[in-house]
Parts: sequence; C-alpha cells; structure tokens
Amino acid sequence: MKTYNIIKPDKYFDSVLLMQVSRELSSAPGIIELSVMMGSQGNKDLLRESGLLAAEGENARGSDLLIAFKADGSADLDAFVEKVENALTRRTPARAEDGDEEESVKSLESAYAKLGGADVVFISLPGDYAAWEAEKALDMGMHVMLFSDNVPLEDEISLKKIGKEKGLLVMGPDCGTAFIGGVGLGFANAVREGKIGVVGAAGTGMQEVACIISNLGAGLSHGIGTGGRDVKKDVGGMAFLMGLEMLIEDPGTEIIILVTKPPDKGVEDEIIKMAAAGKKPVVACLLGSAHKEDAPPVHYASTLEQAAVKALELAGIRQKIEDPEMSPGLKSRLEKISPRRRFLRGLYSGGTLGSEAEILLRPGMPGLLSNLSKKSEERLPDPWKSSGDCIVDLGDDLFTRGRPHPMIDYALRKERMLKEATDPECAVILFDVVLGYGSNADPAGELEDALLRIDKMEGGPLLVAALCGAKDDPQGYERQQKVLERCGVQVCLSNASAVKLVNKILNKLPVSSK
Amino acid sequence: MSEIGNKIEAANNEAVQMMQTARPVWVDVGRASDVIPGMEEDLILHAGPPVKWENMCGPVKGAVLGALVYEGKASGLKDAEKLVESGRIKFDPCHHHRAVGPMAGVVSPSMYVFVIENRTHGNRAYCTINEGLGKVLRFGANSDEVIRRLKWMEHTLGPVLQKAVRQAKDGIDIKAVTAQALQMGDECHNRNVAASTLLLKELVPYLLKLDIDREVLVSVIEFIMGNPHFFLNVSMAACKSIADVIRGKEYCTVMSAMARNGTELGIQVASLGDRWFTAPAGNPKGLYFPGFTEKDANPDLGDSTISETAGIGAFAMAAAPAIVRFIGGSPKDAVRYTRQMYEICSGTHVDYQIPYMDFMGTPLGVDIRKVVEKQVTPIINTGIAHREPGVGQVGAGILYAPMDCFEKALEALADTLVPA
Amino acid sequence: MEKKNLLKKGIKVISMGLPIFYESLKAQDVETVQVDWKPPARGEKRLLDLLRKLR
Repeated sequence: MKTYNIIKPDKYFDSVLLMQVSRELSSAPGIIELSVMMGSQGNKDLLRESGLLAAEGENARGSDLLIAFKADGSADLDAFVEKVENALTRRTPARAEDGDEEESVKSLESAYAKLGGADVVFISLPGDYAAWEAEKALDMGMHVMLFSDNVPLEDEISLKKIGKEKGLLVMGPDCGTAFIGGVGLGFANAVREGKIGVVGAAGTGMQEVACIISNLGAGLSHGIGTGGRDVKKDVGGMAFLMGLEMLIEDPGTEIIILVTKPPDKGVEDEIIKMAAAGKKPVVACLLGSAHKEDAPPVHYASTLEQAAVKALELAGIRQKIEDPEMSPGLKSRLEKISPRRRFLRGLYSGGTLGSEAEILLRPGMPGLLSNLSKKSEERLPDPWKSSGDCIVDLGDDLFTRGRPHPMIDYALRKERMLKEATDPECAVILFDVVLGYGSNADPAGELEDALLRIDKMEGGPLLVAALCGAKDDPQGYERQQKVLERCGVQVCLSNASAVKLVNKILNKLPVSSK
Repeated sequence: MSEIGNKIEAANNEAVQMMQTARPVWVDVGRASDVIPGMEEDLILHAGPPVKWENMCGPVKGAVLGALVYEGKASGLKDAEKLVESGRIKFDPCHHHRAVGPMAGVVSPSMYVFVIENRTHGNRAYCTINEGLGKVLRFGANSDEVIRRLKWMEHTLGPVLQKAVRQAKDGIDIKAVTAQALQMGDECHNRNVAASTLLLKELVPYLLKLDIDREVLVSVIEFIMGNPHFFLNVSMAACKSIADVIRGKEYCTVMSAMARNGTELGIQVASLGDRWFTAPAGNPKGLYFPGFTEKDANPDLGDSTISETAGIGAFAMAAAPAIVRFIGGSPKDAVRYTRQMYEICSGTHVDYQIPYMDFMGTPLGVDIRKVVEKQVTPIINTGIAHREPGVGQVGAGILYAPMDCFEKALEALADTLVPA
Repeated sequence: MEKKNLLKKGIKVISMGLPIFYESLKAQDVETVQVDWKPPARGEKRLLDLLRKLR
C-alpha cells in the first residue's frame, strides 16, 4: 500500500462536491482511502493527520486541487485519477447550465454588473476566504449573508462594524437561514408571505417558527438571521439589533418574533429595550432562559412552537396545538419493547432543534448528556458514542469535517440510527427531518431502508420524528410525512410536540428503574 | 475599506480619469538627438526595462549593431560589436526618455521620431517611424537593405512628414483616429489597418500642399500605403503620452508602463515612480509565417505593450475580431479576453468604445492589486521576432504577462504605502 | 449614512460558493448570478496579507 498525492494546479471546486466525489470513489478497485481537497494549509493539516499527505502534496497551494489517496498494487492509478477528474467536471452546474454561449462570471464586480446591481451577496465559501469577499461586498454597498462557518471572531466584528457604518446588514457568519420578501436564502422553506417578521440568531429555530406559522395559515414578512455568535458579548448583537430595527421600521411587518439562545445579559437588555420601544408586538423566544412575565409589547415564549402560536394569537389567529397522542402503531411497539430498553437517543441535524429538545427534556431527565451543552457535567464525552439518555447534534464541527452538513447528507445519521437501534438499552430514537431549499432532496427516501430495518427489529426501539418543513417545500411535506409513517415513525409537526411525545413514551416504559 | 484603501481607490479613479481625458495630438517629427530629452551622441535606446549588452536577446543585439552601422559609427557588424564591447556605447530604456519603441525599440541619435503632445496635460512622448514589414531593424534585421531604408527614412520620409505635419495648425488628433479605428475593427496594436488609412487620409491634404518633388511625394505615400502598421508607432507615442500622466501619482496602484526587452518583461506602477519590477519574458502563442515554428521565436519583446497599458491593444480585442486569426480562436475568444481585462482594471475609457459590447469603453488602468488578487495578468497582442539577430519577424501572437513582477510590485506598494 | 433598504420584494442575489444554494434561488425565480469563484491570490497567505494592507 502506498500514499499518492496528485496536484492539479489552479483548479477550484467547492467542498461539497469534493466531499461527494471523495466518498463516491473511495471504494474504487484497489483504492483504500481517498480524499480530494483544495490544497489550503488547513486541508493539508487534515490530510497529514489522517496519514494521507505525501511529500509532493506539501507543495499544493490553496488554489490547487489535491487528490490524495492510498492504493494497493492492483489499482490502475492513471485511470483512477482520470475518473476523479471526470467526476468533478461532470457536475459543475453553474458551468453546465451557462453553456458555452454565456460566460461564467468570475468576480463579485462582474456579477454585480451582470445583474445591474444586487441587494445581497450570499457567501458559502470556505471560512478562510468568506470574510475577504464579504468585505468587498460591503464596500460595494451590498448586504451580506455569510453562510460559512469558521470565520474568525475578529473578522465578524470588523465586518459588522463596517456594516453598521454603511447601514448594511451582515447576517452570519454561520447564518444558515434568512427569508427576505418571500425569498428563502440558505436553508429556508417555502413559507407563506405575511405580516410576521423574525430575527433569529438560531438558524433551524427560525425555520421551525416560520414553518409552524406558515402551516397554521399565517405568513412571514421577513426573517433575518444573524449567526449564533452575534448575541454574545464580543459582537454585542450588532446584526440582531440592526435586524430588529429594520423590522420595527418595516411597514410590512406587524408582529415580530425574536429567536435566539440566551444572549449575553447586556445584549439581551438592549434587544428588549429596543423591542419595548418599538410599539409593535414582539414575541421573544430566548431558548433556555428562565421564565419571564410578559411586559407588552414584549411577550415571552419558551419553545419555538409557543413563539409561533403566540405570534399568531397577537395577529388574531387562534390556533391550539393539541398535545400529541401515541399512534396505535407506536402503542403496539411499546407493548413489545424489550425490557432493557430504557434510554432516549436524539439525533439532530438542526442545532437549535437539538438544543430545544435538550432544554425541554433536562428538567425531567437530569442525567441527559449532549454535545450541545456547555456545562462539562452535561457533555457527552465522545459524541461519536451514545450512552444513557443523550441528544447528539450531528451538525457539530466534529461531524462536518470533510463531510457535508447532515441536513444535506443523511449517510452519517442513517449509520448512527442503526447503531443506536442495535444498542440493547435504546428505547426511543428521536430525530429531526428538516425540509426546504438547500436541504436533502428526499430525506425520507434516504432514511427509508434504515428505518424499515429498525421497524422490523423484534422488541426494537420506537421512532419519533420532528418534521420541520412548510407545506409547499420542494421535497413535498405530505409525501415525506407519509413515507416516514410507513416506516413506523410517528411524525410530529413541531419539535416541541415531538419532545412531549417522547416524554410520554419514556413514562410508559415497562422499566421504571431510571 | 481602510483609510489607505480609500486613498488608493480615489487615486486610481483619478488616474483613470486623467488617462481618459488625455488628448494625444501628433504635432511634429524630428531627429531623436534634437527632440528626445537626454538623447546623447553615444546613447542607444532600447525597448523594455534596463538590460546589459551581455544579457540582450538576439533581435535587440542585431538592432543595436545595425543602428551603429546606420549611424556610421562602425563600418560593419563585426566592427559594431567591437565598439559595443569597448564600452563606449551607453544603453538606456526608451521609457527613461519619454519614448517608446516597438520590438527591439532601438533608437539612435539620427533617427527621426514622431512627436506627440498630450494637449490636456502638456507632456510629450516620442516614437520612431515604423519601417514596414519583413526584414526590419526592430525585429533585429540589419542587412544593407535595412540600413538603406533607414537612411531613406532619415533623408526623405522624416523631413517630408515634418513639413506636412507642421502645416496642421492644431496638429493631427490621434485620440480621434484611435477612437474611430476601434470602431472599424482595429485594436491599434497588432491590427492597425483602419487607423493607418485614417491617418493617411488626415495627412494627404498637407502632403499635397508641399512644394516638393512629385516622385518624392509618391514614394512617401506609397511607403505609408504599403505598411498596414504605419499607425502603430504614432499610437505607441500617443499611449506613452497618456500613461505618463499618472507617473508618480501618490497612492496610485495603477500600472504606468509595461515593456519587454526580449529577456525580461518589466512593469512600472504610478505611485512607485521609475522603479521597474521584472520577470522573465514569456513566449507568445501564435501564428507563424511559413517555415518558422515556436522554436524560432524570441521571448516576448517591445514597448508596444504601452497600448495595453493605455487601454487598447489586446484589451480592446473585442473590437477587432479579425485579430483572432493569430491565436487560432473564434471572435468569441476576442470578447472573452476583453471581458477578462475588466476584472483587473480600475475603470473604462469613455472614448475608446467597443461596438459589439454595446459601446462599452475599453478596460483602462490595470490595478496591481486586482491582478494579484484575481491571478489574472494583462493580456498582450504582439509580433514575434526570430531569436537570432538579423532574421526579422516570424509571426504574431498573444500571451499573458508573467505574474511574478506584479507580485513584486504589490510587495513594494505595501512597503511604501503602509510602512511597518 | 442612509440605510440601504434590504426588506423588500424582488431582491437580487449574488451567490458565491456552494452551487446548491444558487440552484435553490433559481428554483424560487430569484434574479441571481453564481460567481465562478477561485481563491484570491491563489490562496497564498503572504499575498493575501499584502492585499489586506492595501484594501
């Protein structure tokens, strides 16, 4: 076995494509391991750690493609490298679509010229370069949405300062979702348009709130994302406050929802002060904060679902969400469950949804472990391995290194689900399925065979899913729901109700030794 | 944008503005020793950044030797070589004397040169008179025939053109000719068919008014008519008079000169004054005359890249689809090259327009920062000289300037503008 | 400075990075352009640092 590094100078491909191709071709004949990456320092370090960096690879530059693999004697190396290259060039949609008539656009400036001006630059580039292009976008007078993570804190602060000076919004870094005037950016859903505006420092949290609102018959004016770090002390809520101010001033917004994990105290005070002065009704959902009394116009909600319902109420729409009842299928499974099975395993792709579950479960489940918790006694020691009751956020950096986000790529979740199911102590597998633009095109289809295998296990665990999606999402909300149900999953229409259902199940387990 | 960034941006915008408003006018023809500043008896000017005799490429050496014979300083080429090796002859880049020269760019004291005045800013620039195609001094040819033609140019062509242009009260507006030619399929570097005709049209009335021998007149007109690149040297001097206006401009990161001596390509940057940043000259890809191949080609040569520096030439290729014959591409490729140059330029030239691109101005003012950031260097249209002295032109083609000199310039800019 | 209004209908978006997000903008009939992006200054830190000084 030998390690090979092949450099293709000045060939850029995005990381998702590289990861897909790496995965797809790593099982080619004679190939033991494959990683196709851009030759940046960070990537070279990763390769070195995994023993895939050879001497020639050290010379790769950030703009070079680096094909690193281990092969045994049987591999046809030239043919394999050609195969990798073909796989990469086969699908560069931007190029294929433009055809040869239209030139591809090489820079922000020419894109701006081609569109005759633009409002937002959506950046999902590697973190090292994201701030670079974001600053340029701000200089050109455009708002920025930074989907990228791994952007240094000092860059975030400096970008947001520039934005503040120029009256331009910097959403992110690590901002997954925004809705602007009916357009979903990043991971976003096909929600109805309406009069409720959202500012969110928690991406899937905003998706959940928006979907519930839309599915209950109301709609969204705008949803402004900020990235989770925005509300911490260092950044001081610069984007959050600007977003809130914009919604207060926006004539199309009548009710405002704020979604965030608990902000820094000073930042929270500023936000609430601005909200209180704004005259529009505000529902603040500060996930994980202690209960607060409403002080109109500011109202408080403790779950995402409650935030949506309260906002609807303020809009004059009364919608009661019934507590979920166990389906007959789940009941009969519960009767047959093996008595040793007693723990919950939550496998989340949406970080905020995972957090919400953790927060809601913790009071009745003091031993709950999670990679989402900041407290060391509550942290899952090795997120790759479950033990006891636990909630795992599979969107954690630890899992996304060299792999697309779990909302896009379901491979890891599938694998983990099967692993949990075969753990004789696992009673319930709780998971989220996030639909919408940017997400996997058919999540239920991806999970189907794994779920069916679990469903067939004698005395096996119960399956509960929180389906986060709007009725009109491209994946087909109802179709997704039906496929999941056919696989023995009880599908809940919000994360909060999925958690309630899980609590019910756990309380009815044959064992009470917990 | 930082404070320094703002200053640079403002300076670069101003630089583009200045170059756009420059109005080169052909005002005179004169002997190099009379008109070129700092021209001395034993001085030979050459193209590109400074280069020592021992490092000069074949065509430049050939042209230098030919010029010494032409000047009567040597009885033959061997003799001329001895003279150079004696150290009596001094060399200097044309660019150091407000002049430019195509290919070898050799200028010796007796040669007649075009005098172009930028009427907006008042500065002047100089370039020799184009000798025509085939075996010519600028490609390193130096046979008796070449020398004889140079003599005729000195004794007949130069003085006639001088008398003619001096009759034009306001001179001949080269900016107007260039703008017009760009809309007639020239890019005014490697294709000057329309511009040469337009220039002759401007010139003829003045020629006809001269009290000179009819046969002399015919020979002059035939000479100009027989050379589709007659305009090139006028245009180069005009471009030089445009680019020189930003030389020394504070905070400006725009390229103020780009030139090749056949060994190295060098660039200068406005705010860095007369410093050169060099890299080995590249090899053009192109179309070769029958009997010649890439193996015969000398590396990239000449000051004619002053055209690209001033926003025409390869930068205006979209205006000259016929030029792609040289590169074996389609007219679409010409558009692609021009489009690419917008990516590295600070602005556009309002008066030099490209009909095909909806009369958009040509890309103008190469910003060193953009070149390095985008890893795209200026594209160059060029003639190709034989690598041996004395042979002449073997083809024409296209190439990108080397990246290395731009990266060196960037470093110098950072050191100068943002001292540690 | 006056705020540049973001909250309106019919925003135009430039996308840089993962093509999936460009595709989803297209699917929503948004006026959008995907930049065929390459790392600036071939991703070389030395050059990026120089450029940062001058921007």
